[in-house]
Amino acid sequence: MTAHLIEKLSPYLDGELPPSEEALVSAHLRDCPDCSQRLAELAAVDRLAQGLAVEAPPGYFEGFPARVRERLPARPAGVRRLPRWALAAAAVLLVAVITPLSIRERSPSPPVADLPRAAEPRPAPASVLEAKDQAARGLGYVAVPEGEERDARRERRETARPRSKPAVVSEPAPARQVPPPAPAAPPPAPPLPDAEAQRLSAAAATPAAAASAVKGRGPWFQSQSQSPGTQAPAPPEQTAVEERSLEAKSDRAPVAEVAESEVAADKRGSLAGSGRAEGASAPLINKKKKEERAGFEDLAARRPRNAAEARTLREAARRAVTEDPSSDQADEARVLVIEAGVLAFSLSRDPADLARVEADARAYLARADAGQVARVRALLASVSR
Amino acid sequence: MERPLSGGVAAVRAGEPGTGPVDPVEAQLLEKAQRGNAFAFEEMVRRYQRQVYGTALRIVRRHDVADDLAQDAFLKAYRALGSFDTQRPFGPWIRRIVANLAINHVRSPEAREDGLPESHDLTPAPGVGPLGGVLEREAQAVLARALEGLPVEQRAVFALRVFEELSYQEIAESLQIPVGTVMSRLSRARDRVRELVAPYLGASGRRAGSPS
Repeated sequence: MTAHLIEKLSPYLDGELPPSEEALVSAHLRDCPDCSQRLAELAAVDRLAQGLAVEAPPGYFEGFPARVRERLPARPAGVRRLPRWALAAAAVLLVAVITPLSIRERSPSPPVADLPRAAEPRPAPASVLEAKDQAARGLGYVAVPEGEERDARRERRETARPRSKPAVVSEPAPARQVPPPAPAAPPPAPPLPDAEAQRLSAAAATPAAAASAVKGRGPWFQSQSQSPGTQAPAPPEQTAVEERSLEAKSDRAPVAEVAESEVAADKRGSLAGSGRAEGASAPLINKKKKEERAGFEDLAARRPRNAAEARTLREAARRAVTEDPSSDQADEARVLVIEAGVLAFSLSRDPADLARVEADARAYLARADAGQVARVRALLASVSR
Repeated sequence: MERPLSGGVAAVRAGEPGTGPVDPVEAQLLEKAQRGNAFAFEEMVRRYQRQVYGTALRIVRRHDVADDLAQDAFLKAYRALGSFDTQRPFGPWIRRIVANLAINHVRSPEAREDGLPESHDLTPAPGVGPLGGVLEREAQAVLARALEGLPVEQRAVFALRVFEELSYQEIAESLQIPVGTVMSRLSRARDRVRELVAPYLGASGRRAGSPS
């Protein structure tokens, strides 16, 4: 037996030798019991090693996925979010922003009467600055101390009425389209972290937003119908509905949930405002499919950090389905309802959340057009254990 | 929840990495994750967390470090997901990421200051194995210590080959070393471990290892 051959036993075991060398080793092994035994021991060591269990503290793997999720950036790098035509859409939106401003300068009509209040910089609480910092590090949702949030909520309710305000101005998104974004301006809505603002900004910069501006509908699901009023409530009514539901939740409602809904309401209102101001972007409606996808992706890219936010996302996805059940994205949205519901339950362990997941999952699995049956079954199994 | 990974290892062993079958559900999850769906990526994390954590632990040998590295590996994968071909198996890719992170960590001055852990997290698995019973548990305990005593370069190659079942070419690419170096490091690592464990290998173990 030579030292040279001993070195060949390991790659021989792995089948990594070239055929000629392998034949040599095979021939040698037939005549050399020592090498045969050595090879057998190497193989036994491998199998023994494969039998070593990897031990982690109890429960470690149950919490691991959520810890990773909480650290995820807003969206994977390298995925093109804004194709070239989006720049054109952004330009259209800029016009949409500027136009109401100039109208207001000429004649302060009711829809823009709240503009100064909405746009007026308010002193941001310290926690919001912290929230901005955290959001800037890509954390997405940030909890704001409850007292401050309640105050902010009340303030926002007061300033938000009437809903016909040109909330486009109060929304940071369009402002971010202007090359030097206004870092000096404090965030107009305290519970809105930067990451969320950017997300909304991204949504606003797509034709989806532009088209919805034209049609006065939410950006997520668009109908090709030219009479949006018959298909969905106009934004003021829509926001009024949301307001009512918010009132109903009132004190019991988790702060983040309310903030989220109001953001959504603001967003719709703002888009509606720009829609009334600017009606010349009709060709963009042709991008319906892409818009739906872009809008949905923004919805799905949210990062709930607690059960309340997960419920908010669940209901936002549910609204998206309700608004346009025939959309290409409706299947995704139905699954997102369940995904967010599972997260809500895993964070709250609230039987009501579990019941909702089970009902949603069963309803999904009963659909003839369900496209992700395996996924939903797995989700259902994950909570049914 | 489904356990990993019918496609990954099998695919690697069957031929070139990425040419094997890919679970269509996983491909769909990855496509959703590429579009920013955190739930879809979380599901991928759930499917692969044990493998990723295990790879990290087998190289760094400390739970807290392995935990950090496993999280970092998934974050790194998520950031790079835009350029990942969802028709390739996810398993080998994520394991390579975590293996590289683990090796970099072990080489870092910070890791050397940490010193060796008091206890090993690689412990004998109860019950099944080629040897059976007390002898097997003893052999595994010796083996765990032997692995801990290996130089990190050898341990990394051993882990990628024996635990992760990567080919020499894949290991070479992961660690950015020549295939010949993979071969020699693995050979030395196995010999060293074999010397320590051989006294605990019963006759059945030796026979079981005989080449076909």
